[in-house]
Amino acid sequence: MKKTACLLLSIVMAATMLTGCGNQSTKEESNVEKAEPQTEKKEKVVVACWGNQMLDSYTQYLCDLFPEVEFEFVLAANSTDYYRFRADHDDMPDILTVRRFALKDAVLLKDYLYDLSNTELAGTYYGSYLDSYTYDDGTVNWLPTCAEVDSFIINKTLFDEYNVPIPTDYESFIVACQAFEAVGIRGYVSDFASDFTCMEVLQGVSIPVLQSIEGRKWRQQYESGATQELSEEVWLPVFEKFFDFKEKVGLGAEDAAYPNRTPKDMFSEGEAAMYRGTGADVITFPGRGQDEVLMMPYFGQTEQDNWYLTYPTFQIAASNKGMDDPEREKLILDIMTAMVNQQGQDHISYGKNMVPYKKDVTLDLMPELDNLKPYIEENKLYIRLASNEMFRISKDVVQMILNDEVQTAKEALAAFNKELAGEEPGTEIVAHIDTGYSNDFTPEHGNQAASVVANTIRKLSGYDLVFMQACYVANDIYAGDYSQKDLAYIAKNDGGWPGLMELTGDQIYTLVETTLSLTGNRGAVCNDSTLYVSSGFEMDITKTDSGYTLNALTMDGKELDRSATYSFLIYGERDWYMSEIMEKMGISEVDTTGPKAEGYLTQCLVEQGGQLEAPTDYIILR
Amino acid sequence: MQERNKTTKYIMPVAFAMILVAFLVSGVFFMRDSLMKQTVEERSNQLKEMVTQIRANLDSGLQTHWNLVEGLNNAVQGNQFKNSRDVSDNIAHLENDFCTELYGCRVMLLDEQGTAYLSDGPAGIWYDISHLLDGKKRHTFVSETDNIAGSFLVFSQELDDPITMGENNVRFTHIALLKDIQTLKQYYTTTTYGGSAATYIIKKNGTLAYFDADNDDVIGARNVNKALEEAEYVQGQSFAAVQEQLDKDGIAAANILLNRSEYCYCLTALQDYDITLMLLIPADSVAVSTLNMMNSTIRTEIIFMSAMALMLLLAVIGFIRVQRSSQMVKMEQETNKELNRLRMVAESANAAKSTFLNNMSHDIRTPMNAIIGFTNIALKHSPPPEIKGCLDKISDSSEHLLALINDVLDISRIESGKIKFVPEAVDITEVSDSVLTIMDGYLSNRNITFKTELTEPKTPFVLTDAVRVREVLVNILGNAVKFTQDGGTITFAVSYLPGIDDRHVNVRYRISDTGIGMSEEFVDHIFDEFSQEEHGARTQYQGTGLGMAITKRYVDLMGGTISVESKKGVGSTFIVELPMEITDACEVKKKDYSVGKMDLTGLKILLAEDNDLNAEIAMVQLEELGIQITRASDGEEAVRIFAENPQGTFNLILMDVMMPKMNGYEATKAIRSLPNRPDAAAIPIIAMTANAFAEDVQASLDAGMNGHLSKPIVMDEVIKAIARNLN
Repeated sequence: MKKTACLLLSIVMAATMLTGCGNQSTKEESNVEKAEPQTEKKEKVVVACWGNQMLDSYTQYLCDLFPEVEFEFVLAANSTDYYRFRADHDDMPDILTVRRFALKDAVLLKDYLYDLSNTELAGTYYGSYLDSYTYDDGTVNWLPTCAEVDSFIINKTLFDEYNVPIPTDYESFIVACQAFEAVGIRGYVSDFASDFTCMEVLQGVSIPVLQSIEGRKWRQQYESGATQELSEEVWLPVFEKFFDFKEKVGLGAEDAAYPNRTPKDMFSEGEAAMYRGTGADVITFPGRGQDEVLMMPYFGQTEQDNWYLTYPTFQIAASNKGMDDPEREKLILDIMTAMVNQQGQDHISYGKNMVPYKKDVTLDLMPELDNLKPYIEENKLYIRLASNEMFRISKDVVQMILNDEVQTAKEALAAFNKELAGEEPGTEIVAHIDTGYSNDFTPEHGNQAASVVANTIRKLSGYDLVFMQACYVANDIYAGDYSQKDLAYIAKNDGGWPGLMELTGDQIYTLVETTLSLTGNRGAVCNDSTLYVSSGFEMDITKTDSGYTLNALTMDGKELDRSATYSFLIYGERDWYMSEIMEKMGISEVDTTGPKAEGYLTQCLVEQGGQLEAPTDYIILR
Repeated sequence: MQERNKTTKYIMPVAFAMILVAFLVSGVFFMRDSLMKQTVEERSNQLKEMVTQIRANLDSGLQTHWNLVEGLNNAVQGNQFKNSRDVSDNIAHLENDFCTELYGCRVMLLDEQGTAYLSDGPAGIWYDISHLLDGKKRHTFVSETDNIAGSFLVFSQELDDPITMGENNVRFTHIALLKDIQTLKQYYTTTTYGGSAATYIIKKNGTLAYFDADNDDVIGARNVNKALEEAEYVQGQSFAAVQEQLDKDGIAAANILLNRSEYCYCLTALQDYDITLMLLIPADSVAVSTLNMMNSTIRTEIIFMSAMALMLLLAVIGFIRVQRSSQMVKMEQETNKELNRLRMVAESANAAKSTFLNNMSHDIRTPMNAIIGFTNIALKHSPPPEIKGCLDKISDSSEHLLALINDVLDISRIESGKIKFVPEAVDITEVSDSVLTIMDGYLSNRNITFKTELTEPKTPFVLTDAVRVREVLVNILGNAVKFTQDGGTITFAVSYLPGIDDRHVNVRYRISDTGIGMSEEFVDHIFDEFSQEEHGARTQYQGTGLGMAITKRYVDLMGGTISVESKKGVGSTFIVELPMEITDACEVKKKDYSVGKMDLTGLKILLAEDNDLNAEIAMVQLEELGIQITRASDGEEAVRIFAENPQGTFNLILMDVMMPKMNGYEATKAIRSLPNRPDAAAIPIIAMTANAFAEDVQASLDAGMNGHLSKPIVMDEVIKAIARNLN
């Protein structure tokens, strides 16, 4: 009798195990349609990438370095609040990255993150940098990669052509701006439609004030939560300076609308002499091709007051989930170490345009950044104050100033403080998703969450076909209530654009084939999780040792008509991915002005009160 | 019901015992735990005391530096610097004026942007400027930055009034003293723990600011507080408790396990400086004497408690046994009684056997001595023929009885392992010669042809027990004489065969006769005890039936072999092969068997003999030789007589052994030790006793006697012994 009972119990247990103990999912909602388990038994590590820059070569570097790991790369919203959203759904990625960072915001994630304070990895950092990532109890959750330099990029050739002296301080900078304006060239232009530009320029032109003892004291109080308003002593001069800057440089409403690409295009065309940009921009937009380009600091009243504005390219952290397993802990720390060591940082900075924070990393500055060297030696590198609200409110107030909606520094300060004191917008519940979907990739069904988003965009946009990189859907689509902020986190918006075009079947073949073969590009495919999702057509792809090859494209199971023309929407990176693809396909114009993913999802769920489209099996991966 | 009562009887004492044992065991553990806690506490207290002293030193040292900073503040007040060069020069002057006695100090001025100015010029924005932003006037912290090479303890003070520089009115807001942290060592270093103490300076947030030790950092963590929190604590301590005590008292200590070793650490907060000082020391370096004492106490307690528990256990076992049912007890008692009885019977039997063997030798020999002695005396008085015939039969019977006794004793002693093979270096040819001499006596009144075939050995010197060899040969030859009728022939052949190696030889003796022979059946049993062939010869050929058994055992004892071939009516042949180790000639001691002076007339002998008959026999026979005998009836009297008579009164003493009051051994020792009697040590003393075994001979020699004569005495032997000793 006992033997029989034991046998029955064993059968039940075995059956339970074979069925995957189905209810043990870490996903919050029971109605999330789970992907079938993968047959390959690799250790899975989810890495949330702050930007599609990481798809360029960094993700491929990690795949090559850890072949035993099944990486799932997702393009996360560039905000620590995004990780709060995932923590709320008990779905924290294993490794987190974020560029927009303030300890003030990050402290909310402290309970979900692994303490790096006593790791060898933390020991490789300069103490003074590490101190700024250390909480009051000594905990260190986040570590920075190298410093991105973000100041004034000037076209020296243009200066020489017009005999304008290279500025050395604020006054000479204004003189230069006015000199170029006199000859019909914008002296200084920036993408004030971007919140980061508004925030950086507002702070950048007043760094000496913000770096004074009083300015530092206020910042320390603000970052510790001791104050939630801008002090008049420190910030009124900051707004006064910005008004002066706006006035003398000639900024206005037009500038307030400039998106990120516009100043770069103007600079590349020789229509602007200076703009706000990063070290990476120096490489990407070298003026008119052969121009000599320099990175200059934010100018102060005297040369002594000049500062460069910097910030870590991104911060990394690890979820504390699973870290009680020593093997898992070691693997995660090994991967993180690889992400920030010399090799890793070479992949981030091209090895030449950034400043390391680590003792064991050396990055050679390119000639365009020679000016930076004495500033590094004197530690005159201002690290931007980059809390989430600083980005948002800086944009609001700077745009008010540029649009003449506020007239004085005092008004601007008051407006800023008003927003600081107010409720964060976009936090109320505006939508409900009935069915959840997993963004795990399977060869049979692909990424179901990404398919849902692609199908929804296709339906709402009315385009025949949609093609997007699946990792732009950063997480599972959780069933449940959503705020507007939460909806924005479903798919990558800050680095994704809709590219609208008409393509023939042949061109679509070319597009897909070219995309799969891309390397060193922000749209490159490095593994299954970074494959593309299609809506309106299916892809038959073979995985090879060297990558992926396209076998066939079908529409409802039949081969895509190569001669037919289709309205086609690519959702992805614009300046690197789309430009290279279009160039290879011989297409010069692409309309990228349509709504982003968030817009379509809002339209569907909020405005129409509907539900997301169901996923389709869009891929056969052999 | 009865069973239940029985069970109840056991449950109570067992339960009681278990409770008591548990109580004792838990008592030991409690005591051990208590002592260990006390040890930990003692360690903590000692450490705290030490750290309190260090903190006092450090406080004093830090205050000295603050006084210096105040002096610097006063010195720079009211200055107006022209440029950065002017600032540097002024700082250099300040260092010269203020820092000469405090080696390792640098002076720094900070402008309101955080730019650091040193004696060698501006050093850029100071990385540690963030430490000065909490609104306090003074700050102390450890600084290790890229701006200024080295590790410093910074004493920074906000200037009472900012100083300005140049046309742009750069404002200096802080002055700081940078104290090389290495030079702080004098304040916290302790030699108490033999250099095993590690010093940690910990920031307010628990991270390590500075580490100093001769050895590696065993904590090895940036976040020291976290490492301490995650460490394994002993004796129920915890980091939370340590922190609570630190907050309350400013000092706290605990014991932790790091890398499987126990360490003591003590934290003391330098609250005015936002710094915590920690001393970490291997536990076995702290309170060593106390620990040794505690360990010793614990060991003693454990032993004591164990003994108590054992005694208790035994008591309970005893109690349980007492409490057993009467039937069980009775049965057990009866069983024990029977077992005891059987044991006693067995022991008695063994004892009786031993006693029998010993007594037989003595008690039978003593009357035999009288019988033989008096028979011989009677025969010497020319008795009438019919009397002489009787006396001859008595003599023959006595000798047979004596032989029987000797054989029985020999076989018993062989079986009990008392007879050992004692090889000594001898000339083996002499052994044969002595046997032949004995045979001369055997054959003197027989008409038997005795032939010898004696091979010359390569070397006659061997290691063997000559006595046993002789006995073996005499036994066999004696039998041959006994069972060979007159007119027959006996042949004694000796040959030497190769041994197992060059150092050994097998000596082969072959004794053949043309006697009556033996049946094949009997040959198979010839070496069995008491085996005698029923051929009607028992009366004709007297024997004990033990001779060949003894012979076989002696041969076995010497590692040899004995075989026999016999044919009834034809004769018998015995072959004995004995392995012997060859030795050197020098090892052979020549025995002097010469009798020397045989005329014993006028000798004066003291005879100690308690048995009157034996005394009389000896006296009669000795006096016949012209010897004057003085008898003592026991050992004590013998000593007294010898002592009371002047020196030289006696030429020799014949000493019985088993005597009342004082035995022969004791008497001999007493005589030998008489003071002022040089002759006491020299006078020959010969044992004359019924104790006839080899060990008895040795005992006599050990007691200080010069010779040993076994009873029944044989006058020839007595005469030889006397003559040998007097010579």
